[in-house]
Amino acid sequence: MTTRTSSPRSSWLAALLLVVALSTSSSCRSPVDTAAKASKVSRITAEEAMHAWGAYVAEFKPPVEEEKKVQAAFDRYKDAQLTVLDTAIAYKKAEAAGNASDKTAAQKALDIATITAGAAFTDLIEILRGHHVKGIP
Amino acid sequence: MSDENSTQPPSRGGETALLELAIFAAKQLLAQAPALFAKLLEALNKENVTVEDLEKERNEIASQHYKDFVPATQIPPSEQT
Repeated sequence: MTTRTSSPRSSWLAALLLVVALSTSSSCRSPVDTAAKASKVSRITAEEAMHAWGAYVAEFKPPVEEEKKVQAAFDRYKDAQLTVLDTAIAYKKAEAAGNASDKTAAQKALDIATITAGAAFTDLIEILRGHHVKGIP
Repeated sequence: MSDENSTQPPSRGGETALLELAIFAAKQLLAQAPALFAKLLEALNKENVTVEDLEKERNEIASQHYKDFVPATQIPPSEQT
């Protein structure tokens, strides 16, 4: 299939995705700092990827069923991000309250939520890559 | 050795390669999307995240919808999420 070149803003996404990958492996002061950074950076990346998809849709008008797949992937990613943030908030509140057992439980939940969000982010990017939106590696 | 002006990522092993890739990515991003680079830098430099920071981020994400990014969508309004 020929690569379609719908969006100039997506041409740097490969570099952006690399920064995301590196950001999730960087050391931070707490698991919440790590999760918050990964969440923020992946959100910035996902937003730009979705804008690139928006330009693609405007230009090439893919079938509605294809759009629905992207919409569903975006919703899964969004829900996963919200879960990361909810568990991060629970962790911070448990920490502030000095509740060790709640903090431990929240950290476990945060670890799982972060993995889930990473998978949802990857799925979203993979689906967009399948459409050959320019710049998504 | 990597070329300062190269558009190809360096290829090495271990932490040095990771660092070189980060620098390479940052250079590419800074050159092609400086506003985004600034946003990413701000996000990565943030330390000691507060509950308020997390709640603000949560509210921003919760308010996003597919249609916001894809105004030309052909998905019927009744099936948009």
